[in-house]
Amino acid sequence: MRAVRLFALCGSLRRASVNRAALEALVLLAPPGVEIEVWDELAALPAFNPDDEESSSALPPPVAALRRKTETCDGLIVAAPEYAHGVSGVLKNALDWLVGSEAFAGKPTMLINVAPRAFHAQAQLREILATMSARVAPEPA
Amino acid sequence: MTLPLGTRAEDPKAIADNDRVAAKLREGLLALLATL
Repeated sequence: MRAVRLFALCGSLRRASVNRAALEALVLLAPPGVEIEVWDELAALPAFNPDDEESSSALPPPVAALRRKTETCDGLIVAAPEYAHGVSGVLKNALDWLVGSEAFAGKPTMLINVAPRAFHAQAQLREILATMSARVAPEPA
Repeated sequence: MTLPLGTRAEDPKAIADNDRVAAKLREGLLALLATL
């Protein structure tokens, strides 16, 4: 039986990112049969431009990689910092590139927030993901 | 899912070794796996 493949995005580029550490902790805690890839290439994505997605063969390579990994994974994990009461720019940029990805709709998604006092970005992220028709996993009690 | 992180939060192993945080992460992961 093939492993469950989860694809994780960290919305922070910070070297000592707590969000990234939480994702790497999740890799350590994953049960057998579950593989989690934490993607390191958010900074390589160009600024979203709809003109650049008119042909899938012309997508910038980092965007093509992001879409391929998102489309082939079984579920997504997103760890998002809050900057100025909002979603970080790099994460929003990545999500904008994924809006046009047909496989995104219905994709099971888990959100991680490492800052108990930061709720604006989480609320925005839920709204963005709902608009993109992702299936966000329920919050554990 | 909001994590009850404390000190040394930038260390993945320290996070994984924190019973309370690890339980929360496992719970969130199981909730995700249940939707697959």
